[in-house]
Amino acid sequence: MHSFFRCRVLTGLTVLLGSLSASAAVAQELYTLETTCRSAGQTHSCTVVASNVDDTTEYVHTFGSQSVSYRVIDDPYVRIEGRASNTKPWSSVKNATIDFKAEELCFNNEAFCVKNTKYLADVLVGSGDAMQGRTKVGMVFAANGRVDVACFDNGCDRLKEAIRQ
Amino acid sequence: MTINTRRSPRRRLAGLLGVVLALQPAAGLAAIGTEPAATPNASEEIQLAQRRGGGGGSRGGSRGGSRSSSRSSSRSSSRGSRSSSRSSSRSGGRTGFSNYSGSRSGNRSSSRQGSRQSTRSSRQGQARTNSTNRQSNRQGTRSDRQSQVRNNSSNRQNNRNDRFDTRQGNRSDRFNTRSDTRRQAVNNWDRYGNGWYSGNNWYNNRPWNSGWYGGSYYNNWGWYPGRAAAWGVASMATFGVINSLVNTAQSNEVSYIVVPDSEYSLYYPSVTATGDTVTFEADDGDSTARFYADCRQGTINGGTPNNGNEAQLLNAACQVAFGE
Repeated sequence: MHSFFRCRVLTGLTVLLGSLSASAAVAQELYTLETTCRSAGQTHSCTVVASNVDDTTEYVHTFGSQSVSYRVIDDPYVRIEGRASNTKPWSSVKNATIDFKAEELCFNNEAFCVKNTKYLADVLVGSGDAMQGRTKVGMVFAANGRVDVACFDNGCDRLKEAIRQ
Repeated sequence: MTINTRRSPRRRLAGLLGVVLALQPAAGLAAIGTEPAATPNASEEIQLAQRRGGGGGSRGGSRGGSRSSSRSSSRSSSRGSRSSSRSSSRSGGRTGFSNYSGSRSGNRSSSRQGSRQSTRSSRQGQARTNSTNRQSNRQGTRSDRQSQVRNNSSNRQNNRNDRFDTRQGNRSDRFNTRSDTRRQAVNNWDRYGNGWYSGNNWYNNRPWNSGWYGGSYYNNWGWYPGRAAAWGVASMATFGVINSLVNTAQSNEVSYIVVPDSEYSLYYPSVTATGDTVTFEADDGDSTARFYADCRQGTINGGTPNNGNEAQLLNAACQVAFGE
């Protein structure tokens, strides 16, 4: 009797775990944007596809034969991860900055930048008073992927200077 | 021994129930995981609908559970009630940056709410007193009626006229008082300090790309002037008008301008812009709310204006942000 129950529970667990691992990611495309990207000092025309994939938002930038992706995760805390191609693993970015006047979003000390004239406003619209009148905003991520510095306007330039020293 | 044999199946049953209950969430997940593959339409649609989340904000809440619901509700309230009722045209993606901007939960509007409530309660108190007075009047009238049958009709009529006049008078007073306060936003001049919006040449100091907006844009908005005629909006305020309002407000140390032909007051230092989008705070006479608008498309909080008030507010914010 004991072994019968144990057997059924174990079978149930195996089936459940098996079906869990088989679950597919649910993606919902948000927008596609034709724009320009800056990589290693060169400007390319590129296509941005933004999608919600499970609990993240992925931004895939395709230019030439390259495909650079970033994804934003906001639970349990904000993280931004990137990968230089679709086959590479995700890793946390070092920093991310937005210049609202240039309408440009950059990662890792401007190693990669993308112009987004249409949807950068999401950040303004989704923010409270602290973004009022701002032209720049930035975040620096710690080794564990968590934000340890956020900067605004001239603070971002001062932060860059501090990092260089 | 007999007690033991009776207890042990019960214990086993309880143990099994525990396992089954513990497994239930996992079973639910398994069902979500497998069903979309088999029947992609129904369950996927539900998931997508949940993914879009309530509130229509820029971060479509995709997580279930109480945490996401409390977050999205606090966010939508901080942005004002209007934005939640509109469908958003924003992308709905996570940006990460918004979490680090800090959000204000409408302190000003709550203090206003308080004053409004106290006015209401004093008004209610007055109504109660009036009703008590009326009650005693009525009793007095009744005794008069019993003794003076002939006069009662005219007395009653006179009383009624008096009461009507008083009530009407009170109502007009209240209405006038409300109209007076309606146009006054809260002057929070000290909150902003100096910025691009300070000084007569403020339009040269706007920290974004400006100077492109004007009549050629609002006259090309799809809804304008078709709806403008129905709303009785003859034209939108020009940059010259807005510029002079901002300069006058500054010389008087006032942080808002009363938008021409509108019930809104615009906090001009709150205007922030990027691309074609502008965000700002405005007061509708009752409370202050945060708005966003697309000056090229002519939308406010993701939709075309609902009335002339909103249209003028949209134009005023665009003039402050991009006008020349």
